Amino acid sequence: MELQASEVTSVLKKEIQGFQAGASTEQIGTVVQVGDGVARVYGLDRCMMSELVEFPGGVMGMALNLEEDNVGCVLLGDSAKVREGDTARSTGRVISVPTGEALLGRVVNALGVPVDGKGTLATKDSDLRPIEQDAPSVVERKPVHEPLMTGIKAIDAMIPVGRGQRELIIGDRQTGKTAIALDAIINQKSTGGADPKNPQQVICVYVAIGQKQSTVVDVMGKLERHGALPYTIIVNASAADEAAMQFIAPYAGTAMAERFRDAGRHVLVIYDDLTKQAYAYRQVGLLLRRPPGREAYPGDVFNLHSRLLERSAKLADNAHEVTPQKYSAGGGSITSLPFIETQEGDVSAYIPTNVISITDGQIFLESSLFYAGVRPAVNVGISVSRVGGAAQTPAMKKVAGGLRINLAQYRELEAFAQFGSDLDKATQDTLNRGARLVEVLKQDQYLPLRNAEQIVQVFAGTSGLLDDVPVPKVRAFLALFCEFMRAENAKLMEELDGWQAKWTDEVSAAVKAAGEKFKKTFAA
Amino acid sequence: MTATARSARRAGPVARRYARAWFAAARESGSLDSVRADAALLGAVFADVQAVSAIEDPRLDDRRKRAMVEKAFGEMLHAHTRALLGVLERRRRLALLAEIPGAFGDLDDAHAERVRGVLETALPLAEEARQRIERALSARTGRQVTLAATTNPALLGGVRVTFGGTRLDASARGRIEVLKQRLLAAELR
Repeated sequence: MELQASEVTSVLKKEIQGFQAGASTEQIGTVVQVGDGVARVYGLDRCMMSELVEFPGGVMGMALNLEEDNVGCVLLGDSAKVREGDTARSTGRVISVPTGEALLGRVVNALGVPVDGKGTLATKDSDLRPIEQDAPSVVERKPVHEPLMTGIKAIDAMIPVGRGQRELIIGDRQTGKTAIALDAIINQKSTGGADPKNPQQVICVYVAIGQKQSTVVDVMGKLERHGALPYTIIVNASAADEAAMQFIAPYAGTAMAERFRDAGRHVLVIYDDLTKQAYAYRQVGLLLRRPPGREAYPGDVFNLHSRLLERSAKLADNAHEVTPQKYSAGGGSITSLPFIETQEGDVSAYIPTNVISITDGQIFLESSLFYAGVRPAVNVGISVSRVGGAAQTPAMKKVAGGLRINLAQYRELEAFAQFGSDLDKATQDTLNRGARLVEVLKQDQYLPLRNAEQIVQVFAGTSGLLDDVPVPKVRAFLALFCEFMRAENAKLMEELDGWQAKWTDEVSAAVKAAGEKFKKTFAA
Repeated sequence: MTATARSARRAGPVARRYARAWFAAARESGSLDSVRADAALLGAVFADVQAVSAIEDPRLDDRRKRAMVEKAFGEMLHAHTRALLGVLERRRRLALLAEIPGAFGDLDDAHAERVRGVLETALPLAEEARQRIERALSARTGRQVTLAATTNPALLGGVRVTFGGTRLDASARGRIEVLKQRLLAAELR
């Protein structure tokens, strides 16, 4: 931004001329205790819940406990700058973050301040939005019906995610949760050519909560390398940030996403991860001396996540007619993929069960699968999508119909596989098919597949086309088969890429015939 | 008792509870004036750091502490105040005596709709001007505002009044701060 000194002078002159110096009235209080990122303030009689409180040295705090004679604040800055006896001032504002297109491609902290060294954000005061917003009401919503393609076969075929859905991704550490998020973000490139101005482009928000800084740098680098950064906002409240920042980061990220949703756009938000947010909230709650509940979490830890995830929704096409002051266009959506990290696969712990009950389904990642080489390590038996079925493309729905049951039968019989030839033919067939289906669902990272490729590959597995291909060669076969289809049957593949493509008997026969033809060249 | 002496030590919830009972007993028996004098006396005593550390000394038991207070002021104190000392001894809460007079003063002020505050000016202010400000604020808030005048050269000019959690800033320093914020927030495009 280039500025002329004379322009600056004229702006400042105008400000000074318009300046009316009256007496100001403010509510003040005295800091009686400070430490561990929490301050208690005596006074501030008319302080509101969640109000921003200003401390000396520009440190801000948020009022979280309003008690008989004091206000408990969490500090959003360096608590070493605040001392006992300091004067605190209430501001009459709640925490707001800048929103809008200026944030795309940027890394910001939980207060919306850029932390990527690419300069300030060109946002105005009118771009500020409070981080806590009400979720859309019943009349402003619509059932989920469009697919949000993650580009991952195992998910799009069996656990489809729709736009406006909240799908939990749950698993132990190091099971590939972040990898799924990255692939899902990268795959959104196909929606609008990575051009954020294109209304079809899905905007992505990646909220990193309590992550290592190095992980966040890694994520940013990968998104940049795969051309996904131009339509992505990264909100970073790292492990080194104050607990209060980690606690508000998901709300800040959602406020940024809502700006796009309310203008009729589609947004994908990833919360990586909510376990750490719950830890941060527990820390804040305990330091504010709120009564500890189960596992020492404060009583409202359920609401902490439910009010956040309720803001992910599919808006009705006429939402802007129902509430014109809030929405400029209808039909927008926020799809969220919250993450929960489990310990030793224990999904029945407090926070996992809470979030499982809030979301519209879960994708369960298992370390045993991961180490057995099944990547993405999705346990298809206990992963579900409660609303995504309505959003799956008709062709994929038809093709993937038998996938889940086939895999379930395979898992049941897997233990008998070692008996080999002693088994009857039907059992052997199930085992053969199952082993190939497991191969079909394996997928390399950063290679999200388009809809047509996914359909063709899943069809190859379920239709028996792969039954005589050796298991170790299945993945190579599928990759080459897709190339072959794109070259030979370009028109058909293009049709299958669309959401409305039907899987008719003719299409099925055509793909099958092409498959047989390809198999001959592959074997040779 | 001045406002500054009171704010030196903030009463905790337990001290406030005893102060409420003491105040209510005094009011119901119509002996508020003499108990108020006791509170002022004890408040003045415990404005002294040494007195506070003596009454809060964990090595002294509560009987000794009560005997000390009784010996020094026993004759002067009202029956309710002496009863308070008895209750505090029995409950082993005599350490709270440093905080209770202040809490009593707060209750007394609230009951009489009195507000104490501080009036800061860059240069010493004439008594008549202070009273005029008190009257104006009393009329505006509907409560009787009492201000203790102090000088604070950092204000540069004008006045700054702080009372009951509200700060009214009409100082030159405050206006400069507001102007600074506005200039920093000015949009240059």
